[in-house]
Formats: sequence, C-alpha cells, structure tokens
Amino acid sequence: MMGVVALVRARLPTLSFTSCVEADVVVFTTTPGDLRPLARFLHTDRDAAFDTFVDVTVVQSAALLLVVCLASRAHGSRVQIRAALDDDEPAFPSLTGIWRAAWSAERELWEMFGVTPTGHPSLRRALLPEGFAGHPLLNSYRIQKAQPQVPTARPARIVSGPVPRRPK
Amino acid sequence: MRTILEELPGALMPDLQKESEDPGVERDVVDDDLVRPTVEDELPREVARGRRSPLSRHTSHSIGPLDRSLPLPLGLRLSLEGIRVTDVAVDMGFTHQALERRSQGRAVDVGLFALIARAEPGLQSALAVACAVERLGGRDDKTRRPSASTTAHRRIALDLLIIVENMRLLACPALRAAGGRLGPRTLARTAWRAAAGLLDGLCADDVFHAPFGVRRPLPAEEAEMLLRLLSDVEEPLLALDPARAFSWLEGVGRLGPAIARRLGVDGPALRASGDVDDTPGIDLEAAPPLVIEGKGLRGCAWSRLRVRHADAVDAAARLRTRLQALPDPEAEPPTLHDVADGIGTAQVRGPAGTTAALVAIAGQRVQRLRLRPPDLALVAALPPALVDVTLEDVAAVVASFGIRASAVDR
Repeated sequence: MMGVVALVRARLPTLSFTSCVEADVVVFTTTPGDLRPLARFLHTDRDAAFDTFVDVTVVQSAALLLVVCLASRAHGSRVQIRAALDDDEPAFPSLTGIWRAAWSAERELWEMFGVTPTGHPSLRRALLPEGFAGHPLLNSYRIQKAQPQVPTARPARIVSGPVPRRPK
Repeated sequence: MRTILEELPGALMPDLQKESEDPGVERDVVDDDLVRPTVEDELPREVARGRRSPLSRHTSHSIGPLDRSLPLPLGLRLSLEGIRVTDVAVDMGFTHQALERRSQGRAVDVGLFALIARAEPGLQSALAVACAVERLGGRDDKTRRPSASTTAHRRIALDLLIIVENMRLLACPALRAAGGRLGPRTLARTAWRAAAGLLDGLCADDVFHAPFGVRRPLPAEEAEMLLRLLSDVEEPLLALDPARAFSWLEGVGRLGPAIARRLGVDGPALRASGDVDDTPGIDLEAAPPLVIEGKGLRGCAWSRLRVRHADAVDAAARLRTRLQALPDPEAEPPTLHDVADGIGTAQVRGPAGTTAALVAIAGQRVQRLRLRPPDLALVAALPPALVDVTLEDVAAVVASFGIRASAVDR
C-alpha cells in the first residue's frame, strides 16, 4: 500500500509532502504549489500509473481543503492528494492538462466554491446561469438567497430550409 | 422566420420567466415523463414523416427534467453544415434538491441517510454514500464489515437497477427508427416497467442502502415471489434483438476508446468502444459482460445499445442466481456509530458507469458530501460523438448514452 509513497520519495526527493493511509486509500498531503508536479508524476510514471482521474472537490471546515481522487488501472489502487488552500484567494494549478476528465470538475469547483484552477483552458460556468452571484456550496452562502432571473431566450439566427434525409 | 415551437407544436417548452419567479424555494419532486420536453422526440419524428420542415441552423435539443430557475438541465447548441453537425456547445444545469449543500452539518446516523432517502439521488448514489461511510467506519474490523447478506442484497438492487435503466433507455422514443416498427420499443418498455415495479417495491423502505447493513432483510417468501415475477422481465428482455432493432444506428455517433478514456467515460459507453472496463477500486459492481469486437462498429450508438441490452440480460441471469442462493440474513446488523472523522470515498458501478461518492465527517457530522455521477463524463463525450452526425440522428445518438441529467444535484 505504501509502495507509491516510497516511489514518490525516491523519484521526487525535493517534493514536500506527508502521507498516510486512510480508509484503505493512500493520502498525500501537500501544498498547492507542489500539487501539479506530484500529480504529473503519479500520472506519467510507469510504476505509479494513476491514469484514471476520479474527482476533485473541496471540503470546507475551518479552511478550504482541496481533495483530488485518483485511481490506477494497472495496480487497482487509489490515492488522494490533499492541499490546504489560501483563504483569501483560493487557487490551485489546473490538472486538466494532465487528465482531460478534470475539465468539467474544475469548472464546477470554480463556480460552486470560488476556487480558481489556475491555467484552466476554458474557465466558464458549467452548471449555473449567467449572472448568478456567489458560490452556493460555500458555508457562507445563504440557501434562500435571491438570484436574478434567467434570461428567457438566447438570440439565435434562424435559417429556414428543407432538411434532406440521411442517405440509406 | 419561424420558431421551433411553430414547427414542432407538440414540443413542451418551459415558461422560463414564470418558472424563475421564485428561486430558492424547495420544489416538489416532479415526474420526469410529465415535464420532459419532447423536442428531441418531435424533431426526428417530423423528419421521419418526410415533412420538409424548416429548421434552425442552431437548433436545441433538451433532455432531462426542468428546474424552476434554470434554462434547461442540458441543452445542446448545434452548428450545422447542411444536415451534418460540425460543432456542439453543451449547456448544463443541475437539479435543485441541493442534496450536497443540505447534508452539510447533519448528523451521520439519521440526518444524512434520511435526507438521501427523501431526495432523489438514485439508488446507485445512495449505495456509494453508504460504502464511503463504511470505509470511515473501519472495514478492517470484521464486526463492522458488510456481511455476505448485505452485499448480496445490494447486488440484487444494483442488478435490478441495471435492468430498469437499460430497458428505459432502449424504450426511449428517440431510438425509434425513422418509420420503424414499434415491436422492439414495446418489448423494452414491458421489461422496463416490470423491473421498475420490482425495484420500487424493494426500495420502498430504503432497505438496501443503509450503512453497515440493510434495514430489513429480504424474507424467503419475498425472494420466491421476486423469482416468479422475474420471468415477466426476462421474457421481453430475451425476445428483444438490439443488433437488428437498432441496425439503423450502425456506425453512427462514434466515440473512440482513447478519447472516451481521456474524458473519464467508463461503463457501457467505454466497453462499446472496445476498451475493457476495468476502473480500479470499485466498491460494488456487477460484472461487465460484453465488449464489442467488430472494429468498424466500435463506439457507435448501435454498439452502446447492444452493450446496454447485454448488461441487462446478464444482470437478469445474475439476479436469478442470487435470489436462488440468498445468504441467511445476519441476526442483528451492526448499527451506525462511532464513525471516525476523516474523508471516505467509494465508487459503485451501475448501469451508465461509475458513481463516486466522497463523505467528509467531523464529530459525527457531515462536513461535505460529494457525488459524481457518470453522467458528467457522458455529457463531455457528447460533442466528439455528435460531430459529423446528421441532424435526424442527433436525438438517437444523445439517447444512446443514457444520460440522466437529473443525476447532477449539488
């Protein structure tokens, strides 16, 4: 179970992190600055081979804690990477360049918690309408907060014409 | 200039201005079928009737239920070149049960699971949350490990869910071939309704997803009755030949294995592309039975539907075996107490793929509940699958992924 930890220590000796095993899962705790090198190593190193991105989310207790969940098809194992985020300007380096599957999860994280994935290729709203104010999953957000109405229609150019059928 | 509603008078569209007058108010659970917009049904139907219908260059297909304060849970804006799709922009929404938010601060024992039981996260999500809580409860402790009986009950529920969801998909109106026969759809609908009746009955008391055990073991007489009623599911299921019924979708809407894997797609959509479905560390799963072999057809809508049907057939066979050899229920299932503080994760594989759950607990209270259904990855897979598809096949290709937009709840 701790094989992956020894691997990281041996091949990334300058990286700052702590590790433990929690509920059958190896947990790396690091800083947002070291998140990307650690993630890239876990993805690209053939012995680690964490090729499956499961999820990224935030747990809010006193501060915001980023949790990245990964899995390895080759070894059948799972790891978590955790990083405490800055309270004032919570941000972390985007993982979309490493796992394409992080693309939508990071957008969601940005709008739901206000956590910025720095370097995300297309940071725009994923679930909420334009004009929505605040971040609904933060503890400080009031659930009954009033929101602006959603626009009734998008402008669209209507082009008329017959639709040919697919050749059989 | 004519609007799509003028062209498709049968389509239901929401009055968004009216719907958004009262944001934030808790809504009643709605019946998907009553509010499901029928644009995606009407559009190919009109084309199938041979009507020379003027259509927009940027047309919208909507699927899933509506919410009072959002445009649509899932909207696709298609750019067309002639009748072929050249680009797809996806707009998503999410349902407003606010399950994740409302769970924060609740007690683990009654609050969390009472909330889940009343909400509509789906059985698969509820099982994933139960598994995540159990991880925090210490599975190393033999007395707190789910018993053989509990695991069997959960797998029975999961198998039934696979049959229900897959047959619901095959019965979807958008999958009716242009001018096609009603037969396959009727068979799928019959199997779906029979299986849904069994699942609803079994889940009425949320017997399957309580952590550390089931709330009510399945009595022998109930298992026997299930076995008898299972024939009503199996007959139409086995009579359906998806390879023939959906042959009009051969090669349409292809999604390659490399891009599927990169987008985080797993489950039947990945297996249909020819990749083996071996996502690691699954806590609860049903064995995947079919991988499409023919290289030319891998990843197309036809392959996805075949895999879905094969999954349902396999689930029915497993269900029969499980019901015939049901382990004795434990005398008194362990109760939920003293769950350690920490972050527990679990993954459960269901009909459309893997649902991941994350539960953070501090002082017996939920700090954070996070559910990631497979539908998000499937939505991301729509643009590459839809490019170069003809307009009349768009609805069928979207349907072949079996996306439940209602699964996205924050």
